[in-house]
Amino acid sequence: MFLEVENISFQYPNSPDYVLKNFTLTVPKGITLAIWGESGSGKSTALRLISGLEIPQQGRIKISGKIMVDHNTFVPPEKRGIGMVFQDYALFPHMTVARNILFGLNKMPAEAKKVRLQEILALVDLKGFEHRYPYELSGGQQQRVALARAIAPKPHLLLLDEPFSNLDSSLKTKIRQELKTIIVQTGITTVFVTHDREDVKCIADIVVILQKGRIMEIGNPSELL
Amino acid sequence: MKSVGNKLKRVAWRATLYLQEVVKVPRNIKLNLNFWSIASFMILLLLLLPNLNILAGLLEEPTENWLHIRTYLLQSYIKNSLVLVGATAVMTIITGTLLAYLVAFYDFPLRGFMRWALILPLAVPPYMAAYTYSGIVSFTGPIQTFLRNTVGVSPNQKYFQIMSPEGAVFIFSLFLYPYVYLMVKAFFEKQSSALIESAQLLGRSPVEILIYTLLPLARPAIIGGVSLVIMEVLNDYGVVHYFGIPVFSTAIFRAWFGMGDLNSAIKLAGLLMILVFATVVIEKLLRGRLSFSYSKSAVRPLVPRRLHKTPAILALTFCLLIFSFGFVIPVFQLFYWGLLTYRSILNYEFIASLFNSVMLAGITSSVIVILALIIGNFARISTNQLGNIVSRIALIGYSIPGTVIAIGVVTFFIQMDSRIYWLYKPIIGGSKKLVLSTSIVMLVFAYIIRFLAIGYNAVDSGFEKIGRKYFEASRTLGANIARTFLLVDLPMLKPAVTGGFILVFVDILKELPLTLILRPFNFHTLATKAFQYANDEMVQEAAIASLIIITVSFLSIYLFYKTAERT
Ligand SMILES: Nc1ncnc2c1ncn2[C@@H]1O[C@H](COP(=O)(O)OP(=O)(O)OP(=O)(O)O)[C@@H](O)[C@H]1O
Ligand SMILES: [Mg+2]
Repeated sequence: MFLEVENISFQYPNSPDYVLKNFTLTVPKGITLAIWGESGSGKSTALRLISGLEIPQQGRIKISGKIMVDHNTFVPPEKRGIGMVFQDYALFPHMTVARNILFGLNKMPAEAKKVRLQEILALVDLKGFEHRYPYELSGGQQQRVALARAIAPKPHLLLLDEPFSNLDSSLKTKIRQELKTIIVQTGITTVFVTHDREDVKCIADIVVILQKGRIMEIGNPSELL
Repeated sequence: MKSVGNKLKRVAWRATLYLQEVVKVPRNIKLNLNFWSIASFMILLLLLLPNLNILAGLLEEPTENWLHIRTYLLQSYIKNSLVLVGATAVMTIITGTLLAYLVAFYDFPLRGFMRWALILPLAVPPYMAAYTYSGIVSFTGPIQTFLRNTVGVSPNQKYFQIMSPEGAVFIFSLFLYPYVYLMVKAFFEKQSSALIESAQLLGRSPVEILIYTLLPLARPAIIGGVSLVIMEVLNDYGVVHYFGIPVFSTAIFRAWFGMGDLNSAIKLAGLLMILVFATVVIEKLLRGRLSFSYSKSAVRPLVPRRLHKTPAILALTFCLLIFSFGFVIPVFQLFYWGLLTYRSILNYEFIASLFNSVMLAGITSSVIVILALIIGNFARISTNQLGNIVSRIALIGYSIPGTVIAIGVVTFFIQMDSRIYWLYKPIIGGSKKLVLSTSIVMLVFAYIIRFLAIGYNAVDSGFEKIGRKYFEASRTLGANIARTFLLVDLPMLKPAVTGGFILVFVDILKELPLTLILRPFNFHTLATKAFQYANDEMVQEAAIASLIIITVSFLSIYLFYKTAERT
């Protein structure tokens, strides 16, 4: 198994109840898994725990067999080799598209960076936009920059939080298709979160149904939804 | 048997829970131990130590001098301080709230200009206002000269006696009311029209609406503003010294400089500190659970009602009167005096004091902004209560009067000097024993304690504005906390940092008591220069120094007002 989430329980400091309780999940390499659930069911929280933005009170998370977090280890987010696309994209507003995408590539030599930038821009179909600032882009373009930025450093695991929630429905269908293509092309293990059945059916290999912080079912998207 | 089993089970369960927490301790310590947390704690420790020194001094064996002070003088210090604070509080509440009410709810000629012009008295430090006004009403000042030479009457001097507690209250009220005005105005302007209209529909008159609806609602804002006024009054040394009113701050000076009795000075400072903490506690209690969270952006913003004829004239007259007395008159008088005296005072010494002022303010503001960034970043990244506690402590200094901080810092530095004396000899040579405590390091340190809160407030609201999401995005992209801070946070914090820098800079230019006590021998700033001239019966010569400071304050107010309006 590539990603192993074992028996995680988590509670925000100021919330009375556990947001996730005995949450267990395994994702094989190269697979796209969807977490599907209603608003407030704890989907974003699950991604934040996997990426290291939150620390669970209990349980263990492993990536490629290495422990990311348990009671005596914590690997900070920057060392987990994870790419994440946020619900509202969180593109750095003071950086151009190119600099946003290059942000995670600081350890690469300058030449390699240039090559990688062109590669990525081609992949997300944003050639010619590299000198724009985020506020000069449409919602769909911003979404693609966010994706480009997340996959540019070649992470082993891609996390997507409601990647299409800010797009209108006609755009959604198109971008969904594009995302699927990109995931297939790069072969990256992906966990994405959504409350939209269509997203799940279109992209996921496996779906996990989350309700009030507990996993209700795991299975094949076409069977469960 | 069964219940015993259950009990055991429960105990075992508790024990496992407890153990689970204990097991995580090393991990959590490692997690929280980084540059930001360690630096933040060191900074706060340094800030707190001198103040704790003062509280400890309260318990020390009293000197004979202290017994004298306690028996004969302390009562009048307390009484005078309370009278000044109380009367000023009442006056600023009335003036500030009334002006805010007029400007927020009514439209009258020049209202747009008045909205921000009424902040301007804040640009004039009260002690400079005191020098100016006592010059204006003095025997040789413009008013009495006019009466003597043009009208031909020689009025009784007692009508022109500004150097009294009443005079001090006049000065404080006139130049500190903007604190109340600003907060209450901001509060009123966030109210929606619906509030007023529903009260009107119930047949209430404007006065009734003001008293029964608006004032109770505005209570937190009024209390917030007036507590700043009180802090300023307790901090003041320039006005009370010039007017010869014995209060805590002047008494601390006398004990320390006049009698060389540090012990008594510390005790007085400790008592003053208790007075300040009492104010803070009372403020918290009065505000209760009411906070500033006024209805965010009003559904339908307030439309000020047009005033006609007499009401309009009255409103305008009142605003003009306050603005004239609080800004125009003193500034014009200073200009006039400046013209008379600039030739004689613009000498090398004056340029040196100007340079000193700018240098001190520049150095200190830079340091404060950096410290504020460190603490602010720690407060943001810390995932537990520590961050909250740290940011609370960072805000304490501003409520502690300058004289108290000064005494605390002096004691602290003298102790330091004697501790590290062994270091001085090989490095500096000679037999100098007091090195740090006779340098500007001590002064800068004290400024930092007092004004860190200003810089921190600005930086913290900057952090709040950008939120956590860019920080988190950056972390998932492989940047650690430091790199994130430099590449992501800092560029986005630029406006907040600039704002904090300017606010601190201006406050340091104006600062008097700390500078007077802690400056090195023969070291002058614009503020101490103005103080010196005024107290040597040369009020007119103080004009240029005052004007420079007022101009810089004016510019910063203008800048902030304009940027605040735009967003
Ligand atoms: N920072 C926080 N502090 C306290 N409680 C939080 C915090 N963030 C989320 N919660 C609570 O945790 C629960 C799960 O939130 P989460 O954001 O994971 O839900 P979600 O499934 O992503 O919802 P949505 O579909 O609306 O994004 C909610 O009840 C929410 O109120
Ligand atoms: Mg969510």
